[in-house]
Formats: sequence, structure tokens, C-alpha cells
Amino acid sequence: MIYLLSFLLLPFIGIIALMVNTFLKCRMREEKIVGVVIAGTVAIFFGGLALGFKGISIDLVSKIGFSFSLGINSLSLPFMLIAVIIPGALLYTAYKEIKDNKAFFYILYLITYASLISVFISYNFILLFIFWEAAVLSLFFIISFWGDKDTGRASGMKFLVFTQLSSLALLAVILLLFSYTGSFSLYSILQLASSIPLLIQYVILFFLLVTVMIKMPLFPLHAWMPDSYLSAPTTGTVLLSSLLSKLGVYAFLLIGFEMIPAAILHARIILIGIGLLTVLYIAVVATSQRNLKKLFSYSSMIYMAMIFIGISSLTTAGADGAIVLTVSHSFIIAMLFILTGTLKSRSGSYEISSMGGYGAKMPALSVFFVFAVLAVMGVPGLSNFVGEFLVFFGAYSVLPIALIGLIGVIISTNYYLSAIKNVIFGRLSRAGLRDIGKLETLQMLLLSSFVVLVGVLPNLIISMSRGLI
Amino acid sequence: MINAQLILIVGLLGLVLLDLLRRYRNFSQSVIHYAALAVLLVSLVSEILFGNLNASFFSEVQYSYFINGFILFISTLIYSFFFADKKSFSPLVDVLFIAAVLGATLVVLSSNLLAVILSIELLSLSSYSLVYFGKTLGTLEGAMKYISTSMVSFVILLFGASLVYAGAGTLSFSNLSSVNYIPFIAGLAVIIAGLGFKSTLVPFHMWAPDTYEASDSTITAFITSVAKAAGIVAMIRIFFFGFQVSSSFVTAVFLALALFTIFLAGIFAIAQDRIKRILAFSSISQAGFAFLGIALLNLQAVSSAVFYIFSFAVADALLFLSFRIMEEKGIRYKKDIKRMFSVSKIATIGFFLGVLSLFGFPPTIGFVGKLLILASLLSHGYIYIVGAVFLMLLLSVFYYFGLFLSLDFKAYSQNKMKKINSREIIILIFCVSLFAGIAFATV
Repeated sequence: MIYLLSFLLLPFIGIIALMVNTFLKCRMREEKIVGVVIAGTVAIFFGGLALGFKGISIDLVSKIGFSFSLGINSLSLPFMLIAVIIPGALLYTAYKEIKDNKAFFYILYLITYASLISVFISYNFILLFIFWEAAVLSLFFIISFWGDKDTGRASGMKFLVFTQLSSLALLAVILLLFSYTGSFSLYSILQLASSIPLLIQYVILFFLLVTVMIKMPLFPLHAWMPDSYLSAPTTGTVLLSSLLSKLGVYAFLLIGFEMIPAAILHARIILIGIGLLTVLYIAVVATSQRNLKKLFSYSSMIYMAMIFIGISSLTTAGADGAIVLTVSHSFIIAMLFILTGTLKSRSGSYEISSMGGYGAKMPALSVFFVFAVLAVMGVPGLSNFVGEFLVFFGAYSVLPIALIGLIGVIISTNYYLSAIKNVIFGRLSRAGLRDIGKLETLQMLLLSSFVVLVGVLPNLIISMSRGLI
Repeated sequence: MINAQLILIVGLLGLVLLDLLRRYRNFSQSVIHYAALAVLLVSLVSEILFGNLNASFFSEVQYSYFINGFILFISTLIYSFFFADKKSFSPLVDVLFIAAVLGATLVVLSSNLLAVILSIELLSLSSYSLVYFGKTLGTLEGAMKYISTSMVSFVILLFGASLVYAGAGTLSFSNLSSVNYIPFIAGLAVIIAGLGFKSTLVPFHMWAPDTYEASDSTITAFITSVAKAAGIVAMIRIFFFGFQVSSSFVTAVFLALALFTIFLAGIFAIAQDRIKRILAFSSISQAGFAFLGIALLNLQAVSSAVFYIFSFAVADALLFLSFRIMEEKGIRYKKDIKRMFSVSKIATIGFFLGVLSLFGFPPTIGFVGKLLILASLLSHGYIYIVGAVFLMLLLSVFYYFGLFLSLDFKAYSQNKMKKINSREIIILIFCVSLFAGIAFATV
């Protein structure tokens, strides 16, 4: 048996080690410490998959029902998979990118890492909220202090204001659940949630939607997203897009799908409508982008909207598709943003017009770039296809017109292909380009192997989310 | 029977005698300072062990043990900080400080309107003298504003009390029998205004930013935490335990006052460039949050308000004490924040932990305080109020996290760890209590 507490303890030891390293001037590389911690956590995670996890529950303040309880619920494992692995793959990007104030950066990195994993294993809503906010705050610091010199601070502030609104809405959800069930414990709320009056369930759903639509993000609450994704360092962008946005998915699945399905059942036509609107609107917006990072930021919203559609269809196929799409989108968007960061370091800007003809000089990068773009487009055999298929399968059974969302997918094919054409092919305008190194190839291989694995055997993810209730 | 207030009174008189003795025997002033510290410590311990005064005009209520406990705890720490900070100051300050603490603890216990007014005046009289004795630039202005508004509010309070007496025939909280409602209600309304001055509710707050800014930061720490807590507790005592006026109209008035306080203080705080003024305005908006809890006038809400008062008192004390260390190295404006780490790491961390707690960031006591208040609002169906509070919390993101944006992490790793001094130890104790205080939370 693997104790879930070790997911918190190991990063904590890492943070202490980083602090000691700075104070005593040990001159040990910060990346090494973080690498060891993440490797240990990955080992624990796979060990736990094989041997089973063991939770913990300690009453901290029994008068307000605040207990430190960790446990695996039916949704935890797929989310843990991405939260455990992606920061590990990302570490090499951080190593190449972050040059100043490393100690602080990696402390924040580990805080984000630990709190993201812990959100998915918290069994008490106050505990969940604590980790949720810790992740938000450390991302705020990463955007503000290691982001773009000119726009970083303003974007960080914008990010924080929006995410605080979403956190406060989540707090309202938690408090409403508490005042009608008398508990902060996930387990007892799950038992009692069906007895909440329907009117209150609608109120809960409203607040939950604010949380989810900001976090994922969905139109029209996505105003923070382009700025933050653009100004953040590549590491921050990947953390935001592939992990932090999945907190919204988790909250929607956990609270919406599991606890108040009755409210969603009545509102699902509207919810699917919101999702479709986002898909179509963003597909058009993304078409007009000339900045590669902005293009991928906007296009990632399409997949978040599909996840949203899948969950709100309230069908098994839709929910399964949403979970598969969550996992696959995390891996693919991480690949895309890491490659975009590499391209920027080669050509000096994110503008597509400044790139061109890289295929000849950087074959390895081009292979992965084309692979990632094909994967995100939903080519069969790769992971996104399964998710999209299941989501639209589920949505079709509820609302056949949902298939117009596929128009968005078709539009997105257009700009993806033109991105490939403009970046990889075309005339080479620049000399002295260097292909990606061995470690970067390894990093890409790791991420793309998961894309293929999930594409070929999606049942792994689906059974993960059901096996341990 | 030994109790905290008895020890404070005896200590107060003893200190005066000791000072008299000093004039003949010529021993050092610091003997008196140590004696004052001892008095505060002993009263804290005896409060924990033996409880509070329980006689004539003063009686314990269910929360008075907790409130007096944290008032004495915070006061003792602030006094020791002041002692470590100043080294040499007049023995008068000791006497005034202990008188102020005595006044604050008596407010909590008062079971009679006259006792409330007298003890709150004991607190105010001593605190504006303390503001003046801090002797930094502009203290005279701050002290004058404090005195003049305090006097006005004292007169208003007395007027309100006389109206209440005219209506009810008694000032005691316990035996209200036949009440003539017209003067009684008018009196209570006037009392709200009078106590509004003490607890800095908008529109009675105008003296507060100037006074907070002008006085020595250690004294500001005292008047924003203990003195303001006493003012708000007096509200609870009068309107919840004393004259039970709970009606939807009173709740509406109180909620409006609270929301205005949070909103206006927030708007003003955003516009400020001086750190101390931001803190002053944020401390005003904290009073508004505590008042939200009082507004509902039921047991759950009031006990959450009591916990909230505790949480902002600790955080405000921590903030102003850490800022005191910064201030003496010339950090006044937002742009100076980048030098903070080079002045003192512990004080910087304390400062920002305080900011996080005031904002309500988990897992600090500020978060639990806001959680309890919001829970009580929600469970009584004030869902729109909760929505409004959320918008105001978003407003507060700007001024609280705007402070973070000027930080410079480079200075953290470049500067060596200095030896911890006694002032930093006090800040550390506050930092720990910012998290350990959660244990006192109740629904």
C-alpha cells in the first residue's frame, strides 16, 4: 500500500531542501533537487497504481468540520496521471528557460506540483480549496515575476483577479453544499447531495459555472486567458493550460456531474449551447491569429469547450470522452507550447511571419511539431480523436444539433494546417538554426508516447476513472 | 478572587507608585518597563487560569473569555515589541498602555450601557495620549484628530445613552421591562453613530487613516487591533446581548453600513501610494467585514464575527509591527517594497503573511473568518449580500496583491541571514498564531 500523504511529503522535503540549499550556499543545482522529487513522486504514483493507495484522515478543527483527509475518489486517477507526469517532462524546459531567482522559482514550482496533485486527492472541501488557492497563487507569482518583462505584472494581476472570482464562486459552492448537508467531507456530501432542494441546486450550478467557465476557460469569461498565456514563461503557460485549466474540469465533474446531476439535467441544453458557442466563436477567432502562441492558446479553448459539452451531456459516453480528452489535451498542449517556446528561442518572436522553412534545418523539431498538430486536430489513432468522438457521441444522443460543433473542428483544421505550412515548410529566412537536443527529444518522446498510448488504448484511462469507487 | 482586570488595576496603581519611588531612589526607567511587561503577562496568565471580573456592572458572557484572552495576548506582544523598539521612553507610556488594555477588556465585560461608555472612554483617552507619545512626524495632527472625533463620539454616545434611559428607565442590559419605544429607538440609532466612530465604520471613519498614519506604527498596531476590536465588541454587547433589537430593518441598516465600509475603504485603498495608508484603509474595510457578521444578530453570525475580529486583530497587529521595522529604513511607498527583503526577511514574510490573511487566503485565520461569516450569511439566505461581498473581495485583490507586484526576489537570495533580534521573534509568534488560531474557530 502506498500512503497518499507521500504526495505531499515528498515535495515538502524538496522545498525544505531548496531552502537549505540557498541559505547554506550548497551550490547544488535546483533542477536536480526538483528532478529527484518528481521522479520519486512518479515512482510512488505507479507503485500506487499497482499496489493501491491508502488514505488518511485527521480531524483538525472538528467544530467547523475541517479535517485533513486524503483519499482516492472515482475521478482522481486520470487527473493525477497528468498532474504527476507533465511537470516532470516540463522540468527540462524550465531548466533552459529560467535563469534568475531559481531557488524561488523552483519552490513555487514544487508548491504548484504538490498542490495540483493534492486537489485531486482531497477528501475535504476546505482542504481542496486550500490547495486550489495555493496553486493559483504560485502561478500568479510565476506569471508576474518570470513572465514577459513589460506585460508580465499586468497580466499576472488580470489572471489573479479573474481566478479569484472563480475561487470565490467555488467557495460559494462549497458553503452552499455545507449549509444544506452540514459537512465539508466529499463522501458525506455525495451521500446527501440529492436531498438538496432543486432551487438551491440551480444556485450551486450557477456559481459552479462561474468557477468552471473562468478556469477552463470558456467564452465569455476567457478575457484573462490570451494575455496570461502570452506573457507567462513557457513553463507557466504549460502549467496553466495543461494543468490549471483541468482544475475546472475536475470541479465540474466532481460537483456538477456527481453531486448535482439533477440541476444539470434540466439545464443541459443551455450548457451544451454555451460549449458550442465557444467552439464556433473561438475557431473563428483563432483563425485570425498571426501569433503562434496566441493561436494555440485560443485553439486550446476549443477542446476545453468540448470537455464541457461532454460533461454537460450527462451521458456516460460524454463523461468518458471528457476524461479522455482532458488527459490527451494536457499532453498535447504541453507539447505544442514547449515547441512554440523552442521556436521562439530560435526566431526571436512568436509571430508566424518570422518563421518559415524550419523543416529543412530542424527535422526532429518538425517531426514532433507535425505530430502534435496532427494529434490536436484529432487524427484517428491519436488520443484526441477518441475523446472528441466520445464527446460528440454523447452530445448527439442528447441534442443532435450538437454536431454543428464539428464545424469548429473543421475550421480549426484550416489554421492548424496553415501553421504547419508556414512554420515547417515555406522559404527559410534565417541562418544558424539549431535542432532540438537529445534531452528535448526525450522530453517530446515521453509526451508523445502518452498521446499514442491513450489513442490506442483509451480504455486504460476510462477504467482508471471507474475502477476504484 | 483573582482575575485579569484586578491585576491590571493593581498593576496600574503599582506602576504609578513605582514611578514616584523612582524619583527618590533614582533607579533606571527600564525597571518600570519590565514591571509593566510583568503586569501584562501575569494578567494574561490569570485570565487564562481564573477568568475575568464578574461583579456589579461587569459580567462574563460566552465569548468574553476568548476575546479578553486574545486582547491580552496581542497587547502583551505589542507592548514587548514597543519596549524592544524604543528602549527609552517615559513611564507614562506604560501607565497609559495598561490603562488602555484595562479599558479594552472592561468593554467586553460591561453589562450596563454606562459601563460600556466609561470603559470605552478609558480606552480612548489612553490611546490618543499614546498616539501623541509616539513622537514621530505629524503625531500632533493625528492625535488632535483622534481627540476631537473621540470627544464628539463620546458626546454622541452619552446623548444616545440618555435617550435610552428616557425610553427604558434603566441602563442595565438585564432588566428591561417597560420600554417607551420612541426615545429608545432614537437612542440606539445615536449609539450606532457613536460606536461607529470607535470602530471606524463608514461614514464615521474619516479620522482613522490620518491618525493611523501619523502615529508610531507600534501604536497603530495597538489601535487598529485592540482598540478597534473593543469598539466592535461593544456593538455586539449592546445590540445582541443587551437590547435585543433584532429585526429585518436593523439588519438592513447594519448590512448597508458594513457594505459601504468595505466598498469605500477598498476604493480609497486602491488609490493610495503610501503603504501605511493602504494598510489603514484595509483595516477600515476589515471592520466592515466583522460588522457583516454582527448585522444578522443571531448566535451563529455573532460568533463568526467574534472569530473574525480575532483574525483581523492578529493580522493587523502583525502587519503594522512588521511595517515598523521597514519604516525605520525609509520604506514608505509602494516602489520601496523591492528593498524589503534587504531590510529584514522575517519582517517581510510576516508582512506578506499578514496581507494574505487580511485578504482571506487559505489556510490563514483570515480565510476561516471570512468562511464563517459567509457561511452564516448563506445559511440565512442572504445570497445577494454574499454576491456583493465577492465583488468587494475582488476589489481588494487590487490593493492587497498590488503590494506583491513590487517585490524583488533577488534581494532575498542575495542577502545573508542576519541574527534574529527580539522584535523579529515577536513577529514570528504572530506568524505562528496566524495559522494556529484556526483551532479557536467554531460554527
